[in-house]
This record gives sequence, C-alpha cells and structure tokens, in this order.
Amino acid sequence: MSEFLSSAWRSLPAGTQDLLVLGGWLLPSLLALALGLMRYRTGDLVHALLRRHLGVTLIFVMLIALASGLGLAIDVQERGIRAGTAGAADRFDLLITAPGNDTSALLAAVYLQPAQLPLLSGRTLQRIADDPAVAMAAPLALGDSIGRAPMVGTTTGFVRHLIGIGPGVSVLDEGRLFKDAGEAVVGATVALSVGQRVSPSHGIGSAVTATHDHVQIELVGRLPRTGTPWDNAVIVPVETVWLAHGLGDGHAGDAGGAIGPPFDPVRMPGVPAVVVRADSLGAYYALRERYTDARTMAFFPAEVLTRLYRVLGDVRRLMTLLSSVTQVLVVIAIGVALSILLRGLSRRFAMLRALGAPRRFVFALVWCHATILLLSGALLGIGVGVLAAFVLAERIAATSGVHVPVSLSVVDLSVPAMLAGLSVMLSALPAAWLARRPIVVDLRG
Amino acid sequence: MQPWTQAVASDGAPAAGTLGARGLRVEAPSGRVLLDVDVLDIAHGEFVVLAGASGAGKSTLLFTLAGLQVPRTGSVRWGDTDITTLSEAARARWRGERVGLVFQDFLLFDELSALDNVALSGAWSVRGALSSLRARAWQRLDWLGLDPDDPRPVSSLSGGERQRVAVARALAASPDIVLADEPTASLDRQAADRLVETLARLVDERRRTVVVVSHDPSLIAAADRIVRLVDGRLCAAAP
Repeated sequence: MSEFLSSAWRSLPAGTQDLLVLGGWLLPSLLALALGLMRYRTGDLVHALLRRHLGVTLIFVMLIALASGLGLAIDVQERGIRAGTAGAADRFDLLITAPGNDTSALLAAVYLQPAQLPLLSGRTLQRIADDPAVAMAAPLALGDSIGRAPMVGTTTGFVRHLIGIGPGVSVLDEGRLFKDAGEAVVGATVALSVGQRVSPSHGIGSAVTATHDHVQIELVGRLPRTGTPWDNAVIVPVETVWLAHGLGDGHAGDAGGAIGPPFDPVRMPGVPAVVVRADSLGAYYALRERYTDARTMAFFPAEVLTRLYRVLGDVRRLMTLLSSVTQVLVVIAIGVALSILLRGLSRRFAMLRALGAPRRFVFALVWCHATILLLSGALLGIGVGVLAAFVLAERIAATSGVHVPVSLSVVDLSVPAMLAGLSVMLSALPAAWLARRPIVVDLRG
Repeated sequence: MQPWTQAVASDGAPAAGTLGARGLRVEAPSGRVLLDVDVLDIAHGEFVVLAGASGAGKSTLLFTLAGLQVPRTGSVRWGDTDITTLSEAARARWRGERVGLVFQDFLLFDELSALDNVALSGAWSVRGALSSLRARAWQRLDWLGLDPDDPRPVSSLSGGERQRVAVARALAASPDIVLADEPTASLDRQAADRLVETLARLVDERRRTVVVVSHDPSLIAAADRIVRLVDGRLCAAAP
C-alpha cells in the first residue's frame, strides 16, 4: 500500500505535489474555520475576543508574521540571488584568463569585484582572436575606477553583446558608444552625466592608490539597464586603460588612434581576461579544452556559479535549519502564549457553558479564535517575507548591481502554511482543555 | 407565603414545576464539606433569596441547582428530571432551555451590542431558531426598558443598564427558572432597586421561579422566602 502511494506521489507533477503539500498544511486551519464558522456561528464572538485584548492580539500576530516571514524571505532571496547572479553571467559565455582561481576570475570579470589577476599576453590574446572557432574575443581590462564606479576597458563589440544589440544599431539610453580612446559610456545607474569629462583612478574604492590625471575621458553615452554589476561601471575602450598606464594603445604605429581589434600582438599589453563567443555549443567545449593548459585557463561562468550555488545551497540549508529551529521554538512559544491568552478568557468560556453552550461549541470557538490569530500572522508573514526579500534585493542591487528578482512560488507559501498548520493543530489542545474545565472553577475566577 | 416544604409530593419527590434538592452533599477537593442539604424544594413561581455569611455555601447551592456543580451525593430534580444524573451535554441543554443565569459582574461580551449579548445562544442553537431567538431578545430588552436597536457595545452602558442586559440574556430562552448570583452587588442603590423590581415582576407577571444569592436588604424584603445557610447547611427558612 505504502509502495503504491509512494509511486503515485512520485508520478505527480512537481507543481501538483507542491499544491498538495500546501493544501495539507492548510487543512487544519480550514477544518477549524469550518467548525467555527459553518457548524456554529462564532464570527461575532471571535471578533469580540480578538478586540478584547487587541494589543496582545496584535503582538501575537506580529510574532507569528516575523517567524514565518523570516523563513520565507530566506527561500525567496536565495532563489533570487541564484537567478540574478546567473542572469548577470549570461553574456559571459566562455572566459579565458591566466591560470589561477576561476572563482576570483569570475568575480572580477563578471561581477567587477576587485581582484589581482595575472595577465594574458598579447600573443595569447591574438591566438584566441585568430582561432577559427571564435566568433568574438573581447579583452577585459580591470582594476581602475572613476569616482565610485569601476572602470572596465573592452571593445564596442562586447558592449553591444552585453546590452543585446547588433553591430550598427544604437539603443543606448542616452548618447552613443565610444569611438576613440578619449570617450566612455556609463552604466545605467552610474551617477555621472553624459557630456561630463572625468579622469580615472588606479584601483577601486578604498584601494585607490593614484589618479591618472593625464587622461581625460568624455562620457558620450549611457547604456540601458542590464541588471548586472556593469550597470554601475564606466566602460572605456581597452586602449584607454593601456594608455592610462603608459603602455601604449596596443596597435601598430600607423593605426591612427583606431580602437578595437585587430590589435598588434607585439605592442599589445596583457589583459586579465577575455570573453569569448563561439557559434556552436561544440565549439565552446572545444575552446575550453584548447585553452586549458599551462598558459591559459578557460571556463564557463555557469559551471563556477553552479559550484558556488552548491555552497550557497549549503548556507541556505543551514539558515533554513536555523530558521526551522526558530520556528519550532516560535510554535512552542505560540502554544504557551495562546494558553495564557485563552486562560485570561476562560471565565467568558465558562459563562457560555453555564448559559447552555455545549463543549463542542466552546472548543470550536477557541480553536477558531486561535486559528484566525495564527492565519492572520501567517498571511502577514507572507507580506513581511516578500517585503524583506524586496528590501534585501534592493540593497544587493545597490551594492553589487546584480538584479535579484523576487517572486513567490507555491513552495514559498508552504513555510508560513506549515507554521500555521502546526500551530493550529497544537492550538486544538488548549481548546479541548478549556472546553473540559470545570465550569464553576472558572466562573468563580 | 409558602412553607419551604410545601411543594413536596406525597412520594417525597418534588411536585411538577418544582426545583428540588435531596441529600445534597458537595465537597471541596480537600474533602471539606461545602454543602450539606437534606431537602429543599422551590415551588414554581416562587421568589427565593439564599442568604448567609460569606463562605456559607450560597453560590455552591445556586450552581448545584443550575447543574453546574455535580454533588458528591444527592440529587437535584426539575419535575421528573434528575439533572444530577444527566450527561454534561444534557445538563447544558437543560440549562439552555430551562434556566436563566445572572452573574454578579454581568459577564457580558463588552464588545457586542445589547441585542447580540442577549441573543448569544444563537451562536450554538440550530440555524432555524436564530430569527425567533433574536425576536425574543429584542422583546426582552424592550420589556426591561432598554433600546434593543442601540448598536453601541455594552461597554458604553451604565452598570444598571448592563445588569438589565444580563437579565434580558437570562430571559432570552423563556426559562422556567432564573438563578442570580449577587446580581445587585455591582450596582448603585437606584440601579439595584430597579433590578429588584424587575425580578419581582418576573415572578408576579411571568410566573418564573427566581432564586437569588444576595445580602441586599431590598432583595431580601422582596422575596417570598429566605433560605439561610450556615456552613453549608440550611438553618432556617423565613418568610
């Protein structure tokens, strides 16, 4: 029998399973409400009881809301962070760097986190660019900043790829793409104006060591929002970065100030990373294998993220465990608080029984009252959880530029539903206890 | 005025419509005797005051007559029905149909209106009875000089008005017996006198049996009979 049930359960679609679990947790509440509001007419009395100790009732509801909202916020946030960070890496199909730590390279290239990365030589970059399997090889030059925004050197080809437009098409929020080494575009959220002239600094944030005062850059365009850390960056031609450091512009002498590929492999300074696009899945895997050797390291950002998500998942499990322990403690606290609250109302319940109310009615009234308290808290908890997730998402976006999408799923609702379900089941105990107490003892107070 | 044993039938059981107690003994969990009553009969339409010092057993007797307290031995009969042998559910039903209770501190739901308080039993009665119950509740409030359509919560009413709401609630199911525990104790003199008058009208106009625990001289003066208790025993019945 259990084999059959287990097999039937596994055969159900995941969404149906989630709905059934949610329904299962809601069942005790529905039962209590049906008993209280349909079998009997306890609505007015429940309303009166809720109003009787309004302050305590509100504190009680808020505690439940916080307890259930915490667990929900963790789940929603963790999923949002996964989606946001994965989305931010979408345009970085294959990264090639010098051998080292792929996580550091990923954080530096995609999420623009400060890191000391070894450089790929000009000849290596040329070899990658000339590879027939490569459709685009965009160098990334990192490590400088303008104001509080990191400055990234790259090509117009990669900028177009980043914002999803084709060659010759301009859908910038403002202005145009850079055309020479004295121009730059800003990300959507950078607090600099198009038309402004700026000088870069060496280093980022508190690690700034010097300013490149000899370099003047005019901001000529603003990129549309990408939901990535690049929204917070100033993007310049890669040549600008080389020139700022006195390394030439990477082109042959007769290039006449041109920017972008082809570069001169002899004159070209190194870059920490190259973003590579290929035309087929097979080509990506071939490129990864080809450029994973003693001089280069090629990796898919998605693979590194998957590894990070496993760690994140472990952290989430730990936080969920802590949150679950908290919730169990809250359920116990709710049980105790509810018993105290109901004990304060016991004279009213005894009066009802003295007037002829059957025990079942008093049980239904108390259970319904407790259920409405608990459900209100759980519903409010959903709001609290979503609000907390939104606030956290905004903070993450503000500090890292990663857009963290916040969305609710049926599984998320199971957390407050579980808390409410367990508490409602538990609250049947004080309800039964109150319905069986000696009337005279409670009437005498 | 009736002697306190008048309503006893020839077989020793209370006559029809009489509330009678036989060999009642109620003990505290410690074993202390709270009530020890051999015979007490209260006739239909009689107004009885239970008097005595604090702790004499007046409220215990009242609660036992109401079927709220189950005696260790003895019986309480209403006509042919021995309520001490009834199940808890049957006793609740009997109280709901036959007994109206009034408490010292009213025990109303302060947040509800007077009409909602008086029609309280509609919450557990069968659905069909609700409209007639509310109609009766409306009449009881009107009879007691309160505005049945006043939507204000009873917490905004005076003490005297609230006690009249409590009396109206006790009368909502048209009970045969009204049992009141110190009903004037929380009232000022004027409100207490009005309540005494109301209880007397219940007996005179509506032929209800009224049993009241009280020290109030006005209530004692209005009663048909005073039953005095000392240490849980009946010591005398005075007109």
